[in-house]
Amino acid sequence: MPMPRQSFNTYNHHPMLRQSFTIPYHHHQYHLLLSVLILLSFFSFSSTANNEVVTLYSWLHSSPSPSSSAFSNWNSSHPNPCNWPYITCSSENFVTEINIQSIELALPFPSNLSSLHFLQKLIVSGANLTGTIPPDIGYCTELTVIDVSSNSLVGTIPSSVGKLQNLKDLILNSNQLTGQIPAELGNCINLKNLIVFDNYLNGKLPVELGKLSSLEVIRVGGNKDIAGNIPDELGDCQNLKVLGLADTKISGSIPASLGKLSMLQTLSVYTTMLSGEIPPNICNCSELVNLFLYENDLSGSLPAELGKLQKLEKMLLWQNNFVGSIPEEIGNCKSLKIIDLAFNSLSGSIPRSFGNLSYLEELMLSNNNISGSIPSVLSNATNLLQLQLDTNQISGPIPAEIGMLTALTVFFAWQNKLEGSIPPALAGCRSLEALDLSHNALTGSLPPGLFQLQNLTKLLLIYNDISGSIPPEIGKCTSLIRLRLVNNRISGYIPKEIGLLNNLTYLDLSENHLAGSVPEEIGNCAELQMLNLSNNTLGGTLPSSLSALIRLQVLDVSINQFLGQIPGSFGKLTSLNKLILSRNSLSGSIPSLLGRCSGLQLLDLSNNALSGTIPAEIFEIEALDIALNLSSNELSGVIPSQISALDKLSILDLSHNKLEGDLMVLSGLINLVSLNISYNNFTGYLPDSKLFRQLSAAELAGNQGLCSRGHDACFLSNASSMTNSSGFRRSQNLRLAIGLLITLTIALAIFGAIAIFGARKIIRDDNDSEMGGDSWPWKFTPFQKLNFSVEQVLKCLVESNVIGKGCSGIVYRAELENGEVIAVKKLWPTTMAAGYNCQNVRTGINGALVDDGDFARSSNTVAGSYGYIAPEYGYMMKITEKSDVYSYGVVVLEVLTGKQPIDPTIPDGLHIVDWVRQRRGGVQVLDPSLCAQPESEIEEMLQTLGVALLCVNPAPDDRPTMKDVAAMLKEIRQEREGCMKVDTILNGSSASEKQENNRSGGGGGTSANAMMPHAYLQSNNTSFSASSLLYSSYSNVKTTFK
Amino acid sequence: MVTRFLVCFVFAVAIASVDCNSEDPHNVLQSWDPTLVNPCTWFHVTCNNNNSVIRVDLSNAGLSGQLVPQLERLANLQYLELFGNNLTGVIPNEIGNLTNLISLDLYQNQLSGEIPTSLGNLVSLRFLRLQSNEFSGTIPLEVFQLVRYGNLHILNVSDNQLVGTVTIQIQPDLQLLK
Repeated sequence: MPMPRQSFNTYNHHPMLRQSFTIPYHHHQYHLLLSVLILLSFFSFSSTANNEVVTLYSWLHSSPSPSSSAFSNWNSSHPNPCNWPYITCSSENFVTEINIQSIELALPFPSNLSSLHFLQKLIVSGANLTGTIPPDIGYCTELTVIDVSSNSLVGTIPSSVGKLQNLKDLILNSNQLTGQIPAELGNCINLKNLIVFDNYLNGKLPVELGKLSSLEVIRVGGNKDIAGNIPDELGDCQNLKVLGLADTKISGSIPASLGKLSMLQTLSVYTTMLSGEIPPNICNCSELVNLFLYENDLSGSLPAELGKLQKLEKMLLWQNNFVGSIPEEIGNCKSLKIIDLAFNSLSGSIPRSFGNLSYLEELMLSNNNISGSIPSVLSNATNLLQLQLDTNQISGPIPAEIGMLTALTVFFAWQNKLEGSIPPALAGCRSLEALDLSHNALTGSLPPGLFQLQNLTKLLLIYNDISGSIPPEIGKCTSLIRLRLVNNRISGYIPKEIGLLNNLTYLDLSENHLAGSVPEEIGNCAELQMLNLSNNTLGGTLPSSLSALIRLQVLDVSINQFLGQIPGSFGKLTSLNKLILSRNSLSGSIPSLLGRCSGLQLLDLSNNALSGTIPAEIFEIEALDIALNLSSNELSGVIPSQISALDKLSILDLSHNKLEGDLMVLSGLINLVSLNISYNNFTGYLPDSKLFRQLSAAELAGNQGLCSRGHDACFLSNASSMTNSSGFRRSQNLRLAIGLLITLTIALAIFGAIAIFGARKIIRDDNDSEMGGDSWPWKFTPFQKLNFSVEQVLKCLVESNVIGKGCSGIVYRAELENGEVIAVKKLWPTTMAAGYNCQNVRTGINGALVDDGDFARSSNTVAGSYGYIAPEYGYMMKITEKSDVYSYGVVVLEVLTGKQPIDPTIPDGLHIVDWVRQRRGGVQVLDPSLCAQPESEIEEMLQTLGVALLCVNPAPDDRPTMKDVAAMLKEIRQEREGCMKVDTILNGSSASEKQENNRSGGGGGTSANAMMPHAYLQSNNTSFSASSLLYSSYSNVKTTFK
Repeated sequence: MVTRFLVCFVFAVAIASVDCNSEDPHNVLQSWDPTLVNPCTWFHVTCNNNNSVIRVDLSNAGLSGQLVPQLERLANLQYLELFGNNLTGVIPNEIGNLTNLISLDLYQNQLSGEIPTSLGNLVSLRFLRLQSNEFSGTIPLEVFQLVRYGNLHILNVSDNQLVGTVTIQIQPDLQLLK
């Protein structure tokens, strides 16, 4: 990607050589020999003169031509075509020249040209000539000039052109020719001009061109597939004046042999792939005027010998990799008009010798590592138009002598280390149009004289240390379009004369110390598109005249001390894209007329003293998609329901106001990514969306009466549920109570006080030798009577073993002496749980759980062990019994995979849950040492794994209850017993079966199959969609298990 | 650096043939002053507090040209809103490096080629709207994974020349049990 140059648009100092060169066409005189030949052959050819009429006439009418009127005199009945326009004949009435330029012919290239035996010049350019160049052109041996440039020719350059010994000009540029440049051209020993640029030619430059000692111009540029090196042999073209290879894929280094080209005036090989250094021999080309080598990969330092080039006018070497300092000797090239060395890695200082260059018009040194100071002797280069020194390491003051450069139009020195004040003498640069001294360390005040510059359109002094005030003279600088004084220490008032700047388009005075009020006159700057006054100490009211600035796209007056109301007339600013009034002391209500600012993408009114309700009209701004920030005001009332129209909005901040009502109106903001509604008086429920579920506590905090902290019940999936919110809440509570009671009863019956599930595990870390036993290291024994005592379990119920805790109890991880790992849930006393008083439970682990009000049965303290904590626990501080289910699922996964929740053997540092999920819960996640178990047991493990995956579902709602889990596990067992009664690993199966029957009997006396959907519907109390989803999950479990 | 890139962007979007303005008929890029050290005050560009570009809003601006790989240098970009222009060419693979992207709206252009699989890296992406272009080939699986494992909420690829089968599992756990 070529890096665009930082050029000021008034001046295009890089001529597109391919277009701008004009080639002198010589009027060729007949050679004596030729005349003799014509005389000799006159009579023999006279009878065929009509052939020329036929040839030309049939060409003209070979297809319908749009310009036939211009050729109405081409009459086929004429004895010869010598009186026809565009045709020139010899004294013997033979056609010697066809010259048609810039007439739309839309004809194919003439055929039978070989019948025009005496044709010397074929010039058909800019005529929309189509088709290919026929090979028989090689028979037109008298041809000296072929110019068919700027047509629509396709095909290749026929190699027969090599037969044209008299050919001097071959001009084929600006067509669509393909193929290679024929090596046979090396036979055209009289060729002077080879001009084929802007085609689709490919291949290499033929070395045979080196044989053409008459060759003066080679222009092959703009053929993007011309590749390879510049042939050394070109150095033999001793008459070569122009070598143009720009915008090709020419690579390699510049051959030193080019130094032999003593006539060379233009070396134009820019935007190619040249590498290596500039050979000092080049500097022997004493006629060199144009050296265009920019946008290459050239490296090394600039040869001091460049100073020998006394005729050099343009030295364009930008965008290469040149290093080292700029040779002083370049100052000896006394004809230099343009020096462009930008975008290199040049160091050292600016040669003082440049002051000798009295013809110098452009000195472009941007983007290097140039240090030192700006030499004051540059003022001797009185023809200087552009001085671009930006993005270097230049230090010291700006020499006052620069002010003597009365022709200077552009002076860029931004991003340097300049210091001192802006010399008032700079006002002497009376032609100055653009001045950019941004990002330096300039001090002092703004010289009033600068504003006397009648042509100054651009003044940028961003990020300096300029102090003082803006002089009233600013009003004289009526050409100003861009004025950016950002981040200085400018103080005082904004002068009312600013209103005289009726061309001003961008005014950025932000980050200064400006005080006082904004003058009404600013409304006269009718062209203003951007007005940034932020971060000053401006006060008073916002002038209503601002509303006259109808072109304004950005208005930023944030971080000031503006008072009073937001003018309703701002509604006239229909072009406004960003309106930022934040951090002022604006009061009153938000004018509803702001809703007419139909182009607004960003509206920030935060941190003011705005009161009243939010006008519904501002939600009519369809374009509002970036941000709406009304935070930290005194707004009251409910959020108007019209807010749902802002379906493109990304950021909404309503925090720190006195807004009330519920938040269901926000459920339609599907594009919302960031939301803050904290510290208001919102009440009710939260819309059930991912955004709301991911909101942090801080973004919801400070809303008493908002169901916000903790329970799934706070989320409502749709607004219709809210039609009777209090009734809903009551029934919600009732269902919750019933559901929990049933769950607790069942859980108590099934699990008794402790054991949920167990497995025996020989912990490898502890003793590998134990693995050498005859049994499998793992034994999977669901619902088996476990082999441990109550004492053993109770010993493990210590703080360090806490996996998680929730509403119904604390879950511990217990490693027994025999290596078994079990999860133990210690339930709260029934009275507590049944009375919903979890929030009052005090634990010895994390101190007091905070009071969460009516709805939330959760804690703001994270309790539990990393690795076992449910995700919502981590980021939402919500603890529910579903969080316990999650922890349980983790333990089961741990047992089945033989891995810790955070296990070094799990790749990418994944959590066990993500790892199993990523592998789709396939057999490969099972502990490898289990894989030799009978298939039926593997199947059982996989089924159990499936249950565990349901337990670790990221959405708490979608997790089964423990009762459901129990039922599913039981079903797994029943299936197995039904199918494979013999093949069992259960010890004392009859006992366990009996126990199991007892448990399920206590759970409701129904079979598992009948119970489960029922249980889901009962226990899931948030939304119908969630419960139906769970049901379908369960169905899926059943079917895929088979 | 960002400035330089964005200048690149300007020149690439409004492909600088000879007259830049002819490619920017609505003058939306007029404020893009290359001598500013950061582009935050340019119109249609939004920065965060660290002067890092987070949004480029150039929809319905009549721009022509191509998306440039250098866009990846806008490492904090969250919103690239270029819909309703005359953009041509392909989506550069490098767009997949913009991992902070929340919204990639390229609909109603003349973009072609395949949708790059690298878009699957955009784990923060919530909105991917590519409709009404000339994209061909299949929708990469990686993009669908964003629906399941990433944050993608809206995926619109209608009105293109895409082929292939679309299978989306809405409920990941159903898949897991297979």
